[in-house]
Amino acid sequence: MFPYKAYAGKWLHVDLTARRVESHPYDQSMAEQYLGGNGFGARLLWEHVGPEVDALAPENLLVFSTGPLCGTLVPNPGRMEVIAKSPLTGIYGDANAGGFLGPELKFAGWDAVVVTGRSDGPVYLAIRDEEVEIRDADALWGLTTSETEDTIRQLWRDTNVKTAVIGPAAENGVLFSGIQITPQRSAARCGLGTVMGSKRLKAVAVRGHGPIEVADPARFYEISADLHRRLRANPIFEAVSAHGTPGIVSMMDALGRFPTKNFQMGSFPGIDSLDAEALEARAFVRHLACFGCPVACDKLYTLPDGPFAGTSLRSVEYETLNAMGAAVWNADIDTVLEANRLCDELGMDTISAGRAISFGMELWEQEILNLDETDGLPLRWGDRDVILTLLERMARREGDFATLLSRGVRRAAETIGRGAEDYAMHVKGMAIAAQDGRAQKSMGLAHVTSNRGADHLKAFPTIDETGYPDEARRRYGEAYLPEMAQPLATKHKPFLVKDGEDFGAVVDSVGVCKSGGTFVLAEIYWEDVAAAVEAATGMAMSVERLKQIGERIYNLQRCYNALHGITRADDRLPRRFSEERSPSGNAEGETIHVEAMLDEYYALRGWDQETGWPTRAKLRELELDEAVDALDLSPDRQSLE
Amino acid sequence: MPSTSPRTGSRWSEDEVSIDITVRYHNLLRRAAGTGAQELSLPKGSSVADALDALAAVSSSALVGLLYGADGSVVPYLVLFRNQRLVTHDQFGMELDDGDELQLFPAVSGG
Repeated sequence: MFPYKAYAGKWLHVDLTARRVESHPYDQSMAEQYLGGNGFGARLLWEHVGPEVDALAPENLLVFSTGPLCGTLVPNPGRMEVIAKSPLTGIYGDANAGGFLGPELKFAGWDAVVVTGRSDGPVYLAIRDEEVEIRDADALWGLTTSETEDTIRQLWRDTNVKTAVIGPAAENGVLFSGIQITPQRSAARCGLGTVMGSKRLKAVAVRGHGPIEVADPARFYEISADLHRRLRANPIFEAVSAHGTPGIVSMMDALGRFPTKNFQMGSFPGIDSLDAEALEARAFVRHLACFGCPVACDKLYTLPDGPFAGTSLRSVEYETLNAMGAAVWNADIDTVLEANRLCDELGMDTISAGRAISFGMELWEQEILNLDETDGLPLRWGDRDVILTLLERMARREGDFATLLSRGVRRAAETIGRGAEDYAMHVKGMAIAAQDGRAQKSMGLAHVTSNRGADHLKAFPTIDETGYPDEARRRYGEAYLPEMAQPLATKHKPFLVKDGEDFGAVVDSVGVCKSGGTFVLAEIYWEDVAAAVEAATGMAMSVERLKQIGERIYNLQRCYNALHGITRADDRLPRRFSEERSPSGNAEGETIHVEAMLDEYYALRGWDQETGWPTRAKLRELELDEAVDALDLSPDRQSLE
Repeated sequence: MPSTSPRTGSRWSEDEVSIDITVRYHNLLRRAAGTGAQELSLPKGSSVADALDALAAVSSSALVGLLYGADGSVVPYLVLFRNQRLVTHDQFGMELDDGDELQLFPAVSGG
């Protein structure tokens, strides 16, 4: 009998090859060692998907996973994780989305859905509380994401059904396809939509009506109410709420941290056309929020006129304003919104799609590509038609060039050759988001240590982005100042990154949001999550224990990658960052060299300096003895030693 | 016409040698200021802190409330750039030059 509250207490295994669904009790030791969410998926991937499994083979898992705080009263508890081996990077992959699906899944009585196998034809998964069916989806295949969601709602005659759907890009095998989560949130990165498409799974639709019980209602209410009060009292709360992530555009530009022309620069001359104020003036309709979120960083935008009049969408984020704006030298916000809409409808990660375009544009500028190789498209910087045409072609995999880009910048560069690799801005195959490590040294380190390839959200070092010391002081104490709050300083940053990664693994495993208090605002920290988990679940939880869980999850993901051949040699940034000085903003003249920070980071982690693998002692300390055995038996271990 | 800083009480005349700077507002500061940017004339030798004082003298209470706390000190979450360079609060004594641009933000982070 599963002893803990706040969980549904069971998870669903869906075998699409056998067209069979099975209910499994949630394992007590899984909850105690990995919490849920990200940890649950990472553990299953470790156990069941080895290096021999291709990411698009039926044997890959696709895990939709919630955590114990998802759907409860704590602030912004609408987050869920999707985990699988990534077809984009070939290593551990995950993506996280807000919205309403995670809570709905728990209301239906399930902590997670684990999909294996491959269906003969298109199907979708229908979950109505305890009733679960695999249904034919011939009529849905080929539809855009919103068409799919609308059709399911009509079929169910229920406007409150929550869905995870893929678009045509995933069906067509675009390697950076995402999964759209009700309402227009995206589990965008790592190409997990492509995994879903390979299984012929068009959608997961969920309707739930049950409660989530907590172990100590009075204490949990008190803790939740206190967290809500603290968030609202935070001096930055109003600014985050007013504009959401677009609110940081202008400051990131001033910092020289806003990639422009494929990271040639860190500030964009047309920034006034892309910032939060420009977006608000042009298209703001109203504020929106994910489940249980007091911040309401989401907004609804509609273009009132112009060539894309009527384009209406939500979740326009900082990253997309960069990827479809400055990164491709485009100052037309209408084009950014239309590109955002296309990516959402076709089901592609805006970051990777945008980076594919800026990569192509720089190759054109460098005269590495000619018209014959681009299917007749002159890839001029900022050309609206090129941007939108390439998005459509990539999603449909039309033409050799767009098909090449649809495999991500690393593979495209390898195929093109002739020096193209120098302009593919990725780490481990994952395109780098709008976070230039030259302008914020901790972010440069975070990109190389992230377990899913280049990423700002694993360590999410918000503490030193702005030079605002109070958050650093509150979290780490006076002894770490002033460097901990300085974006260009390297001192203390390995610790900042490690702590962020471990805390982030916990945040992604309990089911709350990184932009609503845990990282952005930096108000909610280890002791708060420990108290909330204990009151919600009844599981004895200390800060020390929670830290060990975070560390365990992060180390297991690293071990997974080690088995896939990842070593220290892969923990590196593209050449541009160490050899080309930033010409922009506060980062003018800066490069970044991660090696010294990496030495310190490995030492803090208890990882081997040569290989970058977790040491046997560290793994045994984390009760990961089976990982010791697996790494010892790996062919790479012999060659590395 | 003399300009006065209510915070410092200092008075100066435009007959003195002055500098002209541009102040650009972002996020909530722009809303409170009601404009994206404004020009400011200051006596030569003025510092960043002097500029903030001068701004407060001519700004709405909403904007002043985002610049200064109840104790009269600059709020710690004000992020300021001078000519695209981050200026920390302990550097607010630095002298400004004619033609400088200051950018003011609330300390929003994320990504």
